[in-house]
Amino acid sequence: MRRGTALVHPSTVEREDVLALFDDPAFTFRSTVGHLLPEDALDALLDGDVAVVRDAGATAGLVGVAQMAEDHAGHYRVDVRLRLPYQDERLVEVVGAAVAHARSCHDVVRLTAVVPEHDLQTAAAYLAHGFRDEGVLRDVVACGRGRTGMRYLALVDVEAGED
Amino acid sequence: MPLLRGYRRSDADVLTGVSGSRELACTWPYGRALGGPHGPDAHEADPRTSLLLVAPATGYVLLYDIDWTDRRAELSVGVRPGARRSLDLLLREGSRVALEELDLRRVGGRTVGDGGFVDEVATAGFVREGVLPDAGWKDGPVPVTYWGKVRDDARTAQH
Repeated sequence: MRRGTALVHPSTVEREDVLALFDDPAFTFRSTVGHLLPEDALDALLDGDVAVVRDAGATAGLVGVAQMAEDHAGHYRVDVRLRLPYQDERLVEVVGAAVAHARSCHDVVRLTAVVPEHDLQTAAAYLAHGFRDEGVLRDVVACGRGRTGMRYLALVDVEAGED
Repeated sequence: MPLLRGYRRSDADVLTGVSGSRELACTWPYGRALGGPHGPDAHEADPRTSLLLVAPATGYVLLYDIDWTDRRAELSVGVRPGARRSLDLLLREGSRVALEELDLRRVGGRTVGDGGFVDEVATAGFVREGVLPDAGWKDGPVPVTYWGKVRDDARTAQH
């Protein structure tokens, strides 16, 4: 990643800085209503293999990797969310680091990413790393005065090898 | 940043005033629990059916008895005594979160007695739906009034 950007363990970062990320409704890390959730629920979102994105010494976002389901061998979900504002290339860079992080920690066969339908910026970052757009489940969650769908993207290592 | 956010453990001072009666609108003697540590009670309530939001240094919004099937919830708002003018804002914002961000259809609540914050509740767009005589107690029997706000309802459209 760019000099000055790093993925670090949450224990090395001020907890309040991490919680403050969720104050912004646009920070939809693993939840579209993170700004409304109590601290215990945020702890649950931060459970598992989560890393903090540090940029120039500041807390800039979160990256998470989690097994999709107990009986899904090799199937992991990756989540990336940066604090606004950020540049597209920075997001692409962090998604790449998240994918590398997932592969370094797990025997990955398939990585799934789920992003709000309207979040084309994040979807593009995943597509830039070879993820395939698998479609949108429409009107899944409330969003503002309406509802929004969730876009599913996936990177399957067998496919990557065939490419 | 939005006015309300989810409860953090560092907000415990705000919670000392969460009303155990869960009135639609109330104030509290800041820093003194009303009849016990209701804050932790509210916080420990089932997160699937309640949501405690905080306006730091101002007050709280508690959505409780959330019914995700019928898409409705009850609302209780509390502010510090010096922040009484914020009641209207928190009542509006709390109901907006319920109706828009959580996509519920109805938010309701109750006031106990004739005094207090009935005017604020009505001004914030809640419609008086019914009165239960002598259903509450404040130095004697008092009526309990039920209020509601329904999304896209002409009753509250003017607000």
